[in-house]
Amino acid sequence: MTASILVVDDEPDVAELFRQRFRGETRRGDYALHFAESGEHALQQLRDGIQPEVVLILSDINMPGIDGLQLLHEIKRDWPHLSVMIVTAYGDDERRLKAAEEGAIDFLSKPVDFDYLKQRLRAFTSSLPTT
Amino acid sequence: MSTASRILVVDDEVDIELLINQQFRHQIRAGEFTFCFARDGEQALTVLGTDGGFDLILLDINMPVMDGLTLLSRLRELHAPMRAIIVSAYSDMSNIRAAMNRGAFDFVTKPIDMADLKATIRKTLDEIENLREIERQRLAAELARSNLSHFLADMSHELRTPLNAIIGLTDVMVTHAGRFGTEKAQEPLARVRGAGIHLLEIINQVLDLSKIEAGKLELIPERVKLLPIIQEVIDTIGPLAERNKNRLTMQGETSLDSLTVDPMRLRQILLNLLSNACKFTKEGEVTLKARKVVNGGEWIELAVSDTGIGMTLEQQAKLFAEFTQADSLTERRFGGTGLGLAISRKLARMMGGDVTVASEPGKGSVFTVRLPGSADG
Repeated sequence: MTASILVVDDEPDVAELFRQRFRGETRRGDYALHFAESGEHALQQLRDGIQPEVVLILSDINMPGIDGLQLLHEIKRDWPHLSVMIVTAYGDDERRLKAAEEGAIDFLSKPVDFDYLKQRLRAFTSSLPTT
Repeated sequence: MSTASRILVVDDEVDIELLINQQFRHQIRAGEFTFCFARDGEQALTVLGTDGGFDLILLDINMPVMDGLTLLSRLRELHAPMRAIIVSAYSDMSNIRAAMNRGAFDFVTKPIDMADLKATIRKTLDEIENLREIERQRLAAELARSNLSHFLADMSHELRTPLNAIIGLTDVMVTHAGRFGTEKAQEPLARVRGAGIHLLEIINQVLDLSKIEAGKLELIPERVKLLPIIQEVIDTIGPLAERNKNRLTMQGETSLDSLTVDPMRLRQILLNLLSNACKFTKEGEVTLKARKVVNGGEWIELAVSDTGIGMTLEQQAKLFAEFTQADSLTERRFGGTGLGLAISRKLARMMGGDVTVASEPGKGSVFTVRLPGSADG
């Protein structure tokens, strides 16, 4: 089953890296990646509906407009069944704690270690109920 | 002195206002002191309630309505930032002692010796100024600490953001050379990537140590299963073990279930110990062994052993200090900041455990992380 993932980051490098590093996986149909360049854009896409239905959001913190922690808050409020991982260049425990309190399932630091991220994604998708 | 010191005189004697204004007329005119008067403790509290800016209170003990001792107790409850000088008859010594025990700073006896009163007021004001200076310094230090921690958070973000592009993009150019036409540049690109990763490690370690030193590193413990974490770090360290042709194995007791720990920091400690073991061992064995130990409580022991170059006792003694590797030759041969072990030990100690070492030159080393926790909870 294809797991649909929304990646939220204002830096174009990030979307480019995700496309490159997940080429094999997307071609095989393991993952379908979607991108939003802001928190507002992400919320709009979630409201409009993404196909296949998104199961996981990977979000940056530092973005113009609403930041990733605010986005996390709004997602958990409006779509509590969705899982969110924070992917950020911030390394402080204050933000890490805030993310955990707001219900993020993981807090990964940039530069993204894609091997580690893929490990986490495999663990996440294998924990999903098969429908 | 830039502003007048404000003194509240609390006394039921009717001529006290006249006496003070007369005796201190020079200081009042020079703007050194200003005086305010209250007839009893209750009036004094009313004045203080509407105007908090007093430095000093001159306090009689025997007054109607509310006496001086009661007022002193109330001032303590209110944490009023001022000092009190008791003004009372020498024959009233037991009350004076009681006032001193309730936090009065000093006393003068009636009839008032004006020279003594002036000296006592000056001394008390100096003391107040000292206390305020200490408080100012405390606030300044607190602000500096808070600025430092914001600075570190922002710096961490600003340093890692470009490294994300540097490491990430060179990595895809190395691993997918065909896609980018970078086949001929493999070797230099791999070196750029390696340098980027090395720089990232240094940045992370310097930032972590600064955070620990500033008291800003916070553990975020959660209930986690230990074996998946061990499996995960073994998977992560695999490529590094292969680089020196080391055999990497793990042994975990199946009785190990879960423990309460900050998983990110535990992973960091294990990765640090394992990467050191892989770096200092060639064509040997690196093993991560996890077990439960009962020794005055339950402990989880995670031992990383290698068959590498090992260390003398002298080298081991310096090992956990910041900015030192076993010696400068080691540093040139193996690289690194020498911060990893210092950080690992500090983290383990923050978790209520420790990291210890046993080693022999030429035979290898065993680093043991010991953490408190019941394995079967």
